[in-house]
Amino acid sequence: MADHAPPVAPDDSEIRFGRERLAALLVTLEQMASGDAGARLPITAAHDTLDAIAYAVNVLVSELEWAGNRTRKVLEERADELRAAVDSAEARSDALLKAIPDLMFVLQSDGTFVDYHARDPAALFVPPDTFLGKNVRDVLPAGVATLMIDAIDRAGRCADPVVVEYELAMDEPRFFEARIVRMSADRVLSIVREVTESKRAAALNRDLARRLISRQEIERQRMARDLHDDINQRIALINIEIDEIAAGRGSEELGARLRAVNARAREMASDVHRMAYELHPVRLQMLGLVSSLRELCRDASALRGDLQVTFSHEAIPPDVDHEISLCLYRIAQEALSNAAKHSRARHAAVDVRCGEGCILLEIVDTGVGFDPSAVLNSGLGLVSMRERVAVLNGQLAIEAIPGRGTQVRVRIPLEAASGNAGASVAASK
Amino acid sequence: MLATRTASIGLSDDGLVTVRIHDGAHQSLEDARTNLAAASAATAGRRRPLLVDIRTAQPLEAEARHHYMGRTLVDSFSAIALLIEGSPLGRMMGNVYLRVARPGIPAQLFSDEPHAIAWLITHRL
Repeated sequence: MADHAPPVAPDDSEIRFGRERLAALLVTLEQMASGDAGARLPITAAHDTLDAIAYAVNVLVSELEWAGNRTRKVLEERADELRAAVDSAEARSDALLKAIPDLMFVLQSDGTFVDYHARDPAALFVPPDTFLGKNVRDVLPAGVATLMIDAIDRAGRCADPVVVEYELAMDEPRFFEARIVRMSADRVLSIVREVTESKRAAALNRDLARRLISRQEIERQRMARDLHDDINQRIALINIEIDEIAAGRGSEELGARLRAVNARAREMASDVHRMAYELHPVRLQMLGLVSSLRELCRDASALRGDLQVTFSHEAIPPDVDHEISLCLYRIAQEALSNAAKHSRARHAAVDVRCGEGCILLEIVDTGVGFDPSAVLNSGLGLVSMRERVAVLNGQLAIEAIPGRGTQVRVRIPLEAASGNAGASVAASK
Repeated sequence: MLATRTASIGLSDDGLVTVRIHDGAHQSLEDARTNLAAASAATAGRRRPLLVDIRTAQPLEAEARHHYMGRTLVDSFSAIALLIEGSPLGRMMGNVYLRVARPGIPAQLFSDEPHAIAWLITHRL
């Protein structure tokens, strides 16, 4: 049987000690509650339950303080890192802005100018105080403003930059290219570069190419005339003399030989006639584009007996500009010549039609094809095709895969020859 | 046996590392660094069981408490036995350490050293 001592009731001193301890604990708890960071509950030598509770409370308070200090320290370090990153990004942006010669504008999605950057303020259409806070419709000429509003709207709906070109009348007419990209839900960035010089250079190049091609055609016409009117006529006279000599008195053998020479001379005259025609297709002016192309196809088929060339057309007006007709004729001529000489094709097709304000020409053969990248910049025929089409603001596409034939497609605006083609908006201040 | 400002640290014949906090010693963060480094050195390159005697130690402040946790314990020791006073305060100190430190190795509180040693021996590698 266990011998347990009966519980001992606390005496007055122990009760007073307990009350004093509780009072001290309460005072310290109040200090803690009032924000005294260093306050800690006292722990006695008793190491009893009250001491354990006081210790637990002290640990809780010190853990909270530790976590708070650590969080603050981490946040301060993070803030320092972010500040350094922002400073670095700002320095990078400043350097970029100084280096970039383009104008930059920040606009709201409704077209209101919010901010700008101009390394050269003289490049601005109007001073900043005139356009900041204003809408493009209040600042730019009507046509340009409409173009910009539309471009801003499109940029706001897609991730890719929208590129537009326009003209402004400043000290002189100047051309600009704007690349507009979405910055945020309600803002876009427009980077504007002046392209006046490159436009002028391109226009000069086109004009030069046009004049060279025109000169070339004039030369060809002259050479054709000389061949037909001069050389061929002289060959015809020689033929007549030889015939007379062959018909006169002389040996049979001599007559036969002279007749053979005459036959070769007639062949030569025929070749000269054909060369003259190829140099300058008179029938293009006399019969028009469709008939000339049809005849061209027949000639190509005749040139190589095993090549069949078909021709089709649709909606070609009778009065196609001569410059456009000549361009298309020359391209068809070059393409069919290549097909006859190089492609070993048995079939080729030429199709010409009008649609959407353009005239479209397609020449297809089923021959051996070729590698365009190997030929495009070195083959004069293809270079000539490209230049002729560019002069008329057209588009040329050549698809050729070795072993799978060749397709040549040309698209020329019907108004190209009059010089009105182009997407720029001209406007005055 | 190595003596630091607040503890005595050694390697017992049973292959256990022992850390005995001096009577009434109050450990600063620097003391915690010194004591933990000395205990790790005492392992002589092998992971060993660790006996920490805090029966007469003062409660730790937060910085020192947080230093006695984490990677070093797992890398240097295979188990930790805390020798605590059998009082309510002693048990509270031991439990607080386990709660805060989360040693990551087997850990247990003991108020009796022979039992602590017997348990640690089962965790020798």
